[in-house]
Amino acid sequence: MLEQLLPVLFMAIFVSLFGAGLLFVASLVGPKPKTLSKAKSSAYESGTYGESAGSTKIPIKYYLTAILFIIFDIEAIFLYPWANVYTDFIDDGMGLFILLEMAVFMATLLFGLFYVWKAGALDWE
Amino acid sequence: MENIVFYFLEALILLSALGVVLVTSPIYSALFLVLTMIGVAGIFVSLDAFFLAGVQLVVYAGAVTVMFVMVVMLFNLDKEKKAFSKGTGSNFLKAASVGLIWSILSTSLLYVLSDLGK
Amino acid sequence: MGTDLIEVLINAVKIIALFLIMVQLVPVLVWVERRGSAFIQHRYGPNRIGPLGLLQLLADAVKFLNKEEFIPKNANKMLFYLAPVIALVPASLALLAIPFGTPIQIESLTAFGQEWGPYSIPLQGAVIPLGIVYILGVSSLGAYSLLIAGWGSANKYSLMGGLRASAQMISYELAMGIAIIGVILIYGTFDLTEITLQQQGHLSFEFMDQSYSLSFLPNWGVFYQPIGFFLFLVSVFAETNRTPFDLPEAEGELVAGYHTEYGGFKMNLFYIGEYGHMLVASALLSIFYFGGYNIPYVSHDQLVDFLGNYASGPTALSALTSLIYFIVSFTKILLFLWIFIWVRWTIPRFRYDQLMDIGWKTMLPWALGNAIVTAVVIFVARA
Repeated sequence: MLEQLLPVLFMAIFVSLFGAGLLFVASLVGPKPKTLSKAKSSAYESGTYGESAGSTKIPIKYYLTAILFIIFDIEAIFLYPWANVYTDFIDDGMGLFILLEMAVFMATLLFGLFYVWKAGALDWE
Repeated sequence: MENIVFYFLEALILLSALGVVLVTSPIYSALFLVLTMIGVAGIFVSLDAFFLAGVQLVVYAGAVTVMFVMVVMLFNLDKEKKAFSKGTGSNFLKAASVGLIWSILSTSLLYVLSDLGK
Repeated sequence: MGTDLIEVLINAVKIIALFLIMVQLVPVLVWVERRGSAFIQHRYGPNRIGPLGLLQLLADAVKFLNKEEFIPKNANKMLFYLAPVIALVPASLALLAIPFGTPIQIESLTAFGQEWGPYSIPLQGAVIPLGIVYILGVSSLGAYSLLIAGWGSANKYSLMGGLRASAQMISYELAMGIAIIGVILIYGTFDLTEITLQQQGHLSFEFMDQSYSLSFLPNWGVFYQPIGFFLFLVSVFAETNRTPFDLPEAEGELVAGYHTEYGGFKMNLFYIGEYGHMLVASALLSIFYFGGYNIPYVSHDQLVDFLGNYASGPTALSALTSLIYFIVSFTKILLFLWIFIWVRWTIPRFRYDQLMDIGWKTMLPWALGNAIVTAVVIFVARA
């Protein structure tokens, strides 16, 4: 039902307007810089002349972490509906079935984690 | 009231999906993709598929697109941007892919319409 | 949101009030944080302005407003302004699903010269049946504002801070998500109100066809999921970027992380977002593991009986009951918020490789093990 979506939409719009309005008011009230010297307007760099962010080298580890996160996140999300119906299945006498089904899945997940671990993808020197 | 929310979501999805392909800056493109995903999650809610909506948010908006945004931020894409917005080769590719998508869309539309006519 | 005008109005006011509670909590918590840190470190802390330094909050607000409007030259102006605004969104959306008490039953009321029929107003921003999934989904959007802030500032410290923050957030989101599976296994539902209701009364459970009952302990989740509770607590600290996991703003290496270039109210919005996350996390901790709005050793009927002496009419009674529950749940939330502050001034920050090691090599296997052990124990106990 879209009925349940309305409060969420309302909140999202209200919060965005609130934040934007606050920034707008603050920009009206606050003093404007009269002169902007080169040193002031450049990015903060502990007092030396800055270099732009685009030229910095970023470790590939972040990308690897994001990829591993996708894999394990999707696998974890599969556990949610299983956990939700687990007790119902046990009460219906199908407990062993659902436990073993998920044990296979969990074993795959753990094997994947073990593999990634041994391959050194989780090491941050 | 429900119609208003539905049209709002549809407009959000269509506009942000158009934004994904029309905006030249890859970072804006990735951020528009997030909006598209959120809109699709809203559509799932309207179909009473609450869990799917949650999965859509967690997996697509929260994981896959985070990775896209990260990648776009990690690499300096100026060179690639130039390579893909100039030259006969990339123009040909663009025209070919648009034609392909258009033909798939029109065929499926024709199929559905002829099905309705029966 | 409602069937008629009055209900829609009530719900809208409720949602706005919820958001204002979150926003107003920030100056109070900042004051508590400063006074608390001073208390822990044997200092005075802010004590000049007003009694106990309480008016410091007002002074801070005025100072924030008087900050110069400044953005760095190379910054992407649009993303620079966008980031603080969307920093507010995930926390406030997640707050909608938190139940703070029993619904208020309104028999009838007169407004605009007309009678308006009976309402049941839940003490919850929106009644969302799949609360856990909703909160996980919404709070997984939290990484964007940090990434956008880091990239939009065109400063390498900001970029590094944003990347660190988002990598840390997604790493611990995994451990957190799997730690919650233990809770879902035990209560068999995604509904936060339902989870709260199942924690009423004193500790009693069935194991191998025998019932056990411990009347000196409340029926709280922490007694079923002690490891899960600890895992959730730790990952929540990392999710909210609080010490000992505040690597994104490690001053020694990254100046101030993703908000290096931010000042004034723009910076303040990031703070509201962070404290909002803490509020949601504390509420989840209290709901999953400490009985939500339930009062230990007092059952719902006892409370209603007791309040019946003071309230006239069913509307006033349900409003009074809801108020008591709201106070109880908020007390629990404030206790957890104090733990957040307490830990910040007690434990030093980790190194980044240690942080990632803890997340992936310790928390994740333990969380998986916790889920497996819980499933097996439930199977043995029930089958």
